[in-house]
Amino acid sequence: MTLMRAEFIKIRRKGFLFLACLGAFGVVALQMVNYGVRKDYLLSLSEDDWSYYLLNVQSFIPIAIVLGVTILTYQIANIEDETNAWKQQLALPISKIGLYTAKFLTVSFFLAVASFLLAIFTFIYGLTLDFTQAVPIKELLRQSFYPMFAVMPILAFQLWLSLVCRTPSIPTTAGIVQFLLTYSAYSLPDWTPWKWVLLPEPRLNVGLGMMFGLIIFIIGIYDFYRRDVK
Amino acid sequence: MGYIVETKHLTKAFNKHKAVENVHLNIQKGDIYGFLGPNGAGKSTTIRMLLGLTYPTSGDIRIFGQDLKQNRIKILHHVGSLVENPSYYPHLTAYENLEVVRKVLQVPKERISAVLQLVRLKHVADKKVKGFSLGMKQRLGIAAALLHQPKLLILDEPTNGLDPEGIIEIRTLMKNLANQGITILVSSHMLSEIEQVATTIGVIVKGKLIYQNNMSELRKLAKSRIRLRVSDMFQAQKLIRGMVKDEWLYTKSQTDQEVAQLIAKLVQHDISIYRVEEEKRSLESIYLQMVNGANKQ
Repeated sequence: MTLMRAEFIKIRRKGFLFLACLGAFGVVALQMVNYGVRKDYLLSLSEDDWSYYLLNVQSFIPIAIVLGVTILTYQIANIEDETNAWKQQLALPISKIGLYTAKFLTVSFFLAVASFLLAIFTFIYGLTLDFTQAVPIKELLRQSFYPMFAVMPILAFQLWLSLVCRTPSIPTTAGIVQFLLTYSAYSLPDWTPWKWVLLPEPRLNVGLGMMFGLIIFIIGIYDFYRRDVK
Repeated sequence: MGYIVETKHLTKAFNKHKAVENVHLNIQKGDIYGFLGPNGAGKSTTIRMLLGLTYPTSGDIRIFGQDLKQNRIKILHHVGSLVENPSYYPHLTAYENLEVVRKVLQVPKERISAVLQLVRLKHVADKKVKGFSLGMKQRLGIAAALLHQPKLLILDEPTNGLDPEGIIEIRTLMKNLANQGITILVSSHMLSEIEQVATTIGVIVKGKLIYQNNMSELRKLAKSRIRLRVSDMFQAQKLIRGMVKDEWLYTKSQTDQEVAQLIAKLVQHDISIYRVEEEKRSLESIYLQMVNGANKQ
């Protein structure tokens, strides 16, 4: 916990919260444009307006969340890399595992904030559209929060690369590749982790995401622990 | 023996290259241990191993009598350090930088202003470190190292990039801390920077510790000698003994009286005296000689 608090001081003025807001808002903002321009046409496409609206919102969540993960993991490693503060941090009486975990939880926390904001923004804009239906709160919460769990393997992998690689170009490149894979995930088979973020089978994807996220997280910790400090 | 820091057969190899080889460090309580060596000799690697940042390839490290491998966190609670160039978070203020460290160390908030006062950075506590000069960053690093009142302070080239005033300031600070009973390990590539504070000297060259002894022992090596150049070196050596090296005859005699007698003796035997000189060997030259000697091997 103390390490988490230290992390929160370190990321001051690094725009983590701003990024979380921007990501959540961006996804909904695209639908504001969409519905703003052709609301009548969109409403004519489906009987169930709320569900159709949620589906539209959801289509942009995967790429937004993968992009967000890449940027956040890069940033949280970068604050140490910048002046090589790793050696100073790890010469303090803290465990390497603790520091790694604190960074993981910090990024997860901001993802949760982004998911929460996404739910709120989706809800608010949905209300302004005046659908003549009750709000499917359950659906809305599910689609806002599930991707965060499904994206865990990608998060764990990006964090591992960012914390271990000496050159930031490697995690950045990997992030871009993951982003592109997510972008084209429709055509990927269901077992690939990039497809999970799209939630073809929500419960299964969340389960898989958390399980593989944890496995990659543990592998990452082991590797980080074993290495000499940068 | 109650050594604060003790290493045995300490070795670190990067691939096949041995950066540190078979180093036996012994640092006693209250020492200011000057860790000397040219750039790339293995000073920083050794220090990183002492802090558990780098794992030794082989050998043991004991700090406060405890094995570092097993008690790393416990030991580090009493160790303050500044390794290589200072680390800091440029987007945070000096105060916030120390707050990060304070959170981890869990010491009272008052310590921050106390250490800022100590390194004279109080007036810039709320400024971002981005705009600090190198000397100020270095001092901030020392402040962070002192936050938890460590028993052992490890400073890796703390005077790097400081102006003469800053160097003197750090020297005074080290002396004051040593007076409070803190053991200090300070590395440098220049003897002149630490010869005035160090009580013990260790010299590392090419990963090997080639000298480790009290400062006073090293000073003994630096005594001045009288040397003469005369017309008949062979005859002169017979008369007054001493040692011939190159064109010079070195004598053991030191006092004015002894030297006068010796000259009188030479004159009596018709040997012409061209020069009588006092040759001072500085500590620096002794150090350089050690380094060169080790490099030739």
